[in-house]
Amino acid sequence: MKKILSILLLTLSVHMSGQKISFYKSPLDSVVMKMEEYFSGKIFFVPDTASTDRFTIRTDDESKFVLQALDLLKNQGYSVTMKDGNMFILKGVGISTSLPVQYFQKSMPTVYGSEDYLGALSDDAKVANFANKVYEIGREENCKGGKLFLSGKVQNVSNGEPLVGVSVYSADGKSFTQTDEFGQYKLQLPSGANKVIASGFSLNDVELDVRLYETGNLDIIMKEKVYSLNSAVVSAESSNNRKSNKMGVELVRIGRIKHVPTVLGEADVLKVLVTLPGVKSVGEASGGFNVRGGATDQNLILFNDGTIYNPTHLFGLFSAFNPDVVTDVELFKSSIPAEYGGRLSSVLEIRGREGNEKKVAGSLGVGLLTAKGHIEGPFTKKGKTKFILGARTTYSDWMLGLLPKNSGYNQGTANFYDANASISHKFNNNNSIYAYGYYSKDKFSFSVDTTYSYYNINGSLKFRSNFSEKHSMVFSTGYDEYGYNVLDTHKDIEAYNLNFRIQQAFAKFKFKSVLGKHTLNYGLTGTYYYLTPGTMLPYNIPGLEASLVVPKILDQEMGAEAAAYISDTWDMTESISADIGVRYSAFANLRPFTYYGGPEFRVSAKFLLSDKVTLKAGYNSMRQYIHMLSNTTTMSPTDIWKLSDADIKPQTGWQAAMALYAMMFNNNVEFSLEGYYKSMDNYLDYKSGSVLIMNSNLVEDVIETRGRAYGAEVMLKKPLGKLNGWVSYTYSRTLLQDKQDAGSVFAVNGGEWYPAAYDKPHDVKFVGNFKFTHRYSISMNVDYSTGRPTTIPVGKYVYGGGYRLYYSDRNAYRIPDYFRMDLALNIEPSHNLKKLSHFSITMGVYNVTGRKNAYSIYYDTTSGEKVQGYMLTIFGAPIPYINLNVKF
Amino acid sequence: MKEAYKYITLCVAAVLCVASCIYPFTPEEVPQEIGLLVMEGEINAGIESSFTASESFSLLAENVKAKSLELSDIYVESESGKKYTSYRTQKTEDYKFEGDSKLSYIVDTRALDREERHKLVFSCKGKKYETVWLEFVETPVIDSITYRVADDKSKLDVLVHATGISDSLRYFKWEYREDWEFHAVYQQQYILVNNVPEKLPPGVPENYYCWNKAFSSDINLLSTTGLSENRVKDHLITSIGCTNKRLMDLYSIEVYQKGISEEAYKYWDTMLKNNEGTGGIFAPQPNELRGNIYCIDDPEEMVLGYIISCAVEKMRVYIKAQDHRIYRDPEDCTPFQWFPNPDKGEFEPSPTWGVYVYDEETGDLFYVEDRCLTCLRHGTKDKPDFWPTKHE
Repeated sequence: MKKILSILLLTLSVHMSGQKISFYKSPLDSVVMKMEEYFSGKIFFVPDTASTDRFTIRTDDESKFVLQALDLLKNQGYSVTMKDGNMFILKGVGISTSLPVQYFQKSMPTVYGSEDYLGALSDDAKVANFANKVYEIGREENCKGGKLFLSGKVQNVSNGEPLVGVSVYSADGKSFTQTDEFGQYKLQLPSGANKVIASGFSLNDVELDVRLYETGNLDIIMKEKVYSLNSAVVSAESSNNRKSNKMGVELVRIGRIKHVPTVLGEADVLKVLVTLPGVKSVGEASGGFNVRGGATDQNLILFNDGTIYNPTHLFGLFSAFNPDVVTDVELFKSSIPAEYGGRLSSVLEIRGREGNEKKVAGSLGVGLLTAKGHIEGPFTKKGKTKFILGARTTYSDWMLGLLPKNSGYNQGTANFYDANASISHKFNNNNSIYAYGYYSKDKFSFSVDTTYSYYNINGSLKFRSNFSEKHSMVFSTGYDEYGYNVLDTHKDIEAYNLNFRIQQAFAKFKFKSVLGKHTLNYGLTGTYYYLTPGTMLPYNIPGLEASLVVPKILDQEMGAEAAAYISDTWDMTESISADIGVRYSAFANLRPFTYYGGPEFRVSAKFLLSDKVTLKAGYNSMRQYIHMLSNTTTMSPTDIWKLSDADIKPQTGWQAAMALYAMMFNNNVEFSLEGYYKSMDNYLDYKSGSVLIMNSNLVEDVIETRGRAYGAEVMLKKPLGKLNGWVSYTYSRTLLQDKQDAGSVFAVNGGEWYPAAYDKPHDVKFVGNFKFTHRYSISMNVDYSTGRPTTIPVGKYVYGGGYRLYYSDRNAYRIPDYFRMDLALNIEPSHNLKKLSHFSITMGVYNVTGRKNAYSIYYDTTSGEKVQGYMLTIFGAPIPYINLNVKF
Repeated sequence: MKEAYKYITLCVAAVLCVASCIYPFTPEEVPQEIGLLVMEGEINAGIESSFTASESFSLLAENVKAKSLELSDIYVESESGKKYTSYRTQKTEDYKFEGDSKLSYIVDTRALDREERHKLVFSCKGKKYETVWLEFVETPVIDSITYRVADDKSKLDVLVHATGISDSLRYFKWEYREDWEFHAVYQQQYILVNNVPEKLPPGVPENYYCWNKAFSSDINLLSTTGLSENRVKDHLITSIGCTNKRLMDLYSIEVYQKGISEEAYKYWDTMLKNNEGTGGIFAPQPNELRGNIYCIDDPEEMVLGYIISCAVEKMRVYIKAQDHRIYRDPEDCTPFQWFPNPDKGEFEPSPTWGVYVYDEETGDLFYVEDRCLTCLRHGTKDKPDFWPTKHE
């Protein structure tokens, strides 16, 4: 909590230095920033980048600065109002400190006749962003006492977009909630006077005096911190970890994502995850990510409710989401809400933006690899119907030529593009409908005669309705498709065209009811899967002999998954609360009919040990009915997905975790310690010598394993201040065991436990940002981890006239440790709005130390003549980049 | 779109160096599993069968060669109990083995019954080993061997063509032996005797023509499963670069074609991937398959290698330099003129250099390095018995 102000006087701080202050044709925000240094209260103003008002002030006596500035503001038609020790600067009409006439005539009145900009945000609800203004909800005479609900939407002041994951809580800490995916919150409060705080990382806290007489609505608008725009801090909400019942939830807003140094400066919503503790990847060019020892296919990746099976472009170097249309990403790595299911280790929600509700806006960008653009805005003046369209494409062929010859890619070509569209319509405050569409496609070849391509298609429709103050519902339905194609033309009679496809249709009903101390979430979900596991057809190359490939079509797989869930967020006492959920999931493979089903439990509890220390514990169990089969280290575009059937059992797993959160150093630093143990069963690994593509009898080529993972994550986070960022250390292990061939000489590693390919026991991550001035800041990333396990030969022999390698245990050796440091210098635009264009510049160097990190190590015998060990590095030198953003 | 504003993002790379690269790498000491038995050979019919045993050795040790192992009680046994025993041993040159030769055991299987299943039985270091029962696999004849010159004339590909016998025999393996004749870059015409050029007698100099031979060292497999015809077309046997001495004069290749079982195909295919296909971004991870040889005394023992029972079809072709004309000699053999006044520092040939040409009119001498006048650096004078050309 910040300063508490009750003085109604304008107080000036006394500065001893007698500094000179001068502003020349500066915009309002620059002047206000300076004024704040000399003013003990808060200063509120409307940041309007379109304003051409400029101020020139010159004073030799800084103590007179504020008074001079105020005079100047008044001369230029601004009104300055003092209220509760705070200053309100508004263009034109001043703020009224008394209630408007006829305020009590409607039960849900609209306030703020005078503030046009606020009115634009929401036409039929109360909107609040001013501290120390008293917001009265309902009529005092109707007040019956007891507990009441305050609900509403939290929006970004600049474009009216909903803000997700913002903590809304009472100042006494007894009530806490977070905004949902629509930016909606619902807080239970005692009737009467309350102090309600809304805080979100990188957002200015909003502290509101609310007099709650009846259950009612209050929308809150928040603005991004002026100084933190540039910060490279990637972090979840700082207060969420302490206050929510859940553990291991990470929310990252796009503003942060765009400031994390990346290869070639391309903002990436997935790469940012790897900077979080507990999230690992096998290497720099790897599409998937591993959460707390889970495999890459155990992450449910949802983009606007649609499932994304391959979230990457360009062999995994980039993620398949256009950062311009994404608002935030949220990763659940431990406590997974009961509404989600179908994957074992995590849920990643990527939320698209709804679009600017105030005006039509857009962007165009040209980068080293991509060209992109987007346009967004309202269809009507009131902003009830909004749209956003985005597209991105690449011209990355040139980069492939720079890849090493042996990587097999330097003769290749690569293209990708993605497109997004969404439309939302708000019928009224309680009913909205959303439509989303997404398409991404990659096409690449390693050599002239083999072309690979893959695509994702998603379309979904979502309807949200608040039946009453206590009950709300979201219904969504949609269609997802993922497929890939391989065209091999290396020889005429063997030329073929191979296709793989997953299609799924889903429907989800989600309900939420608030009943006293209980908040119930319950619902039903259903998914229908239709897999075309392989279609191989002859391909006739013109002018050559016709292909002799026999058309082969693997049997389609059909399955239906349904689940019902209920969970209760129960505030038992002031210091103990819990989320208790159960989900029953059922799956039927329809051909031949095979049924699996079972309950899943999601329990987490919070104990407030003191104001500053929170203890949490949780248990989750999960079931997974669709599996990815792969014999490569990284997620590859030709990996097979397979439904559970009579032979391939569902994967099951559970995770138990405990966590301790504490605020330290005057609440400036948050300490967290999370520990977990995870068990997995029926995870599929490949059998030695397996061929997975076009395999009609896959069960012969895979092994069922059991897995266990455990670890501890320690993190110190300083979200605010000149120096902000965090440092984390993770110890974790992930081990698998071949349970199918147990006891046989054919068992992988003799049936002993062996490390998974992403088992990297130690890792240290540092993300930091230091602000020199308002315009200049530097960001730094440091990433160290143990090298990943790999299989290397343990001997050689002569066979068939050449040297051959002998491999023994799987993943018995490790590649060298990984270390990388990235630096970026950010220069924010000048505050001079008279300039026609504004430049912001980000200069960075990826891998500053130029360490040659191994992606893989391997041996090659080149036709048996020579045995040589090699190390493949992907980015083995410092890679500088400059991003120049021009806004006009 | 009046109110629209636009961002233009210009991403400029000040210095772009995507420095992804492959570096030679030697891991720290990794415990080596040495001394595993490696068994190689096949049970043939109509011809003798040859078997070789060796041991696996350290990957890290340089200049260490494979060691041939001595076998005892080696025989091929049919399911009906008939035994074909080893009747002699044979030493073959192979620089990859200690003493530059390997020891093979020859079993007389000329009268092998193709209808029966057989197994190989042998003892090594006091332990008894045997294979599983092996079905005899027939091999189709080679239809033809052709070659194809790359568009840029950088290489010549030798291709094999065959037609499968039956629909069930769809897995193939090839090996080959190459022989080639080539010559030194220049024929020496003069010799200096007391600093006076003396013309050599007419005829081809002794070290002008040489021969060399080589055996395949790669694993070459093909499966025609999935094709509507059981046919091998344009299958690459070997690829020869345009600067390879093989293409200088006359090249001969004898290709051995073998029909193999599906299990054998899988075993060797895995071996191939383990040796040549690992390390890439999407490369499959290496893994070891067990072969079909087991130690009776210790069934857990890992024995490397796979024994098959098959017929061998072979075909030899010759490829003449004048037909493809892509050979480019890689050696720098520019003749230098010798100036009579070396004191002026102009040029003095090394005493080991030979005279190539002597211009009798001007008295100028042209020298080339010794290596350009002899073929012995790349071959021997051992002409194969079957070689068709004569140079005397």
